[in-house]
Amino acid sequence: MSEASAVAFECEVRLKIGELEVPQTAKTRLRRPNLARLELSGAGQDALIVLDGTSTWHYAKASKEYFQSKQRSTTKLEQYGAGPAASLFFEKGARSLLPYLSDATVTTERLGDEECSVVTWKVGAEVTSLWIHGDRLRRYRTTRSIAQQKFEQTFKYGKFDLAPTLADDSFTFTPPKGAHPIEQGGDDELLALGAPAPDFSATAPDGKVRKLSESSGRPVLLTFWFYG
Amino acid sequence: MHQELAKRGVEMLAVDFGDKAETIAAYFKKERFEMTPLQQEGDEVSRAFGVQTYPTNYLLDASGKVAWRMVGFDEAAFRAVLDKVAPER
Repeated sequence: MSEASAVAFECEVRLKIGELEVPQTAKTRLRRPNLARLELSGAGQDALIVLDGTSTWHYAKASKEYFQSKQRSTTKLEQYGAGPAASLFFEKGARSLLPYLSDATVTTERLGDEECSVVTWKVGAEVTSLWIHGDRLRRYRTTRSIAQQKFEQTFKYGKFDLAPTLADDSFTFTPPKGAHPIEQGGDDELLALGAPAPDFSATAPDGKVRKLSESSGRPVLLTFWFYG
Repeated sequence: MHQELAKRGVEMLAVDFGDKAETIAAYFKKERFEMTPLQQEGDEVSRAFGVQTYPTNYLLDASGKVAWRMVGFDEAAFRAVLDKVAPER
């Protein structure tokens, strides 16, 4: 897969939360270094996602709404439905897994008529398995339990086309007729890696004012959240 | 997770957006988090860190530089960086 300049594949994505199942199909086309087109269907959430190199476009078919956000990386494709294949294709993401692979177990399992190696590892409460046949990723599953609720996400990959015929406009987004843009607040302009964090003051429940700089010399996990 | 981070010497600050102080205090008391909840003025801290989606997490190294950040939380990615920033003691 690493030799090809482009790849096309279909993937069945199934999210299971407890007894609830959300099945979707993702038709994905990727081209180095950073272009992508994903057509998602199923679960009443048909959508088109295009990464054109500078922007990420989301179009929801049912509501005919679309929004544009700045394209920062290809890593979000993993959440959008391309799964780890996108990260591996763009050569990102695999490195962070390496420390865990030494603890992985490898078994074999037959998927259809393919004999697969199944690599499984655990990080905290999350169990991940990869099914590999030859040099191809066939399936990916990650399972975690949060507050006794079980979340399971499975990606089943179809054949990878390493020399796909791609239309000229595969990686450009043209709003379909009748589509309208919406404001979108989710495109965060997070600080760059390595950037010094700005100091700030905020109030603890006991009324004391805390400054970030009081923690200097210690690593800090900073969580932005709200209860609602 | 929080206890493990505390053992590794990681300070945990939870910057709230928009909740009342009582809500925050009650929630943290109930959940017994190791984190220190903090209330910001409006959204000034969120803005300084470019945060528009919640939760968003930053891991700062001991010199106060951004070692990792993420909208949401991916434990595997976090742990890979954590071992460098705050190795087990």
